[in-house]
Amino acid sequence: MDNIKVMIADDEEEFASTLSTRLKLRKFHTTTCNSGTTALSIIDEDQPDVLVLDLKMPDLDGLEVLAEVKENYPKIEVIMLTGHGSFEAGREGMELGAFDYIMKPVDLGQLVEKIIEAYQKRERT
Amino acid sequence: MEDKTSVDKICVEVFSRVSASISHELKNALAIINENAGLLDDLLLMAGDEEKIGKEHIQAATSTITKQVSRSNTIIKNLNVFAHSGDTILGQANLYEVLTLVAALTDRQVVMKDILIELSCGAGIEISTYLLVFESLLYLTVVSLIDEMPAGGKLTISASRQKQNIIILFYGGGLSREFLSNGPAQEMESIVNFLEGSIFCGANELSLSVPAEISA
Repeated sequence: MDNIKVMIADDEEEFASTLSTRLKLRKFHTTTCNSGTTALSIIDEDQPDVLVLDLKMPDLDGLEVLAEVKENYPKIEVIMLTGHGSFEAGREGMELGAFDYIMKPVDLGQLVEKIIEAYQKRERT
Repeated sequence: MEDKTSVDKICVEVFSRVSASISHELKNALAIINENAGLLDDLLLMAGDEEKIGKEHIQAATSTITKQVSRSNTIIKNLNVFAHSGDTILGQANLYEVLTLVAALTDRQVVMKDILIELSCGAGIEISTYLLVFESLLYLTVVSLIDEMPAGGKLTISASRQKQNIIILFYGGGLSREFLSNGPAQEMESIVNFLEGSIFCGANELSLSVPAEISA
């Protein structure tokens, strides 16, 4: 896990920072940002291996960010975070090329597994 | 008078939109609580390994949890007040409190669009009306106007009583006279007709007028 670069993009700042701290304790390299446009500008400078991306954010919607990322940096694997009660939004993300989606509140064990699987997929391609 | 069934249908739609938005907000607050509780677990495990844990890490996590519980409580209290507006067909309320409630219920949309809401309302103005219907009208108005406005704008809401009517003015950049011809505005017009009021839209401005007192 020492090599895996994870970016967390979520407009709930305290959520993003605490999740980042917990992933760091598990030896991931993490960065956080709180809007879609910031996510895209950071990615232009330094691409993560895996992007954990909230679906609903101000300025640029998570699905719009996903589409941009997949177009410009197809190797970045994206895991969508959704606060929706239904799976519909997550499925929509997967149709746009997301690796997977996870519901909020997050089960950290499940997220860690998905991040590793996403990273392994990236390494294979 | 507007058909009561169609107004009821619009109110149900508003209630469902409010519930969806609020449950989303609650999920966000729960997600933060969940992460911070998990972080405390992580710190506890590290302390068990005889690693030194800074007191400030624990304080930060517990303070975030307390803050998010308070946020959740406010969110659910607003939903509760809105839901109880339908306890009786006609109800009386303080206009400023009603406007504050509606502003709070639209908070997520406001934040997502980075809009600032400025509210001014004379003190002690009471309204006696179909309360849930009136609140649904205000909710639809604010949400529709936010949709129309450019991001980062300011929506000014000023309310007053003029003779037998309550006049509410909404002022914000980006509104056009054509606003009343779109879908949500037509729903607003249906409610306004039901309440025997009137609605007018000018450049950057929308005004609502409804009777201050409706009796059964």
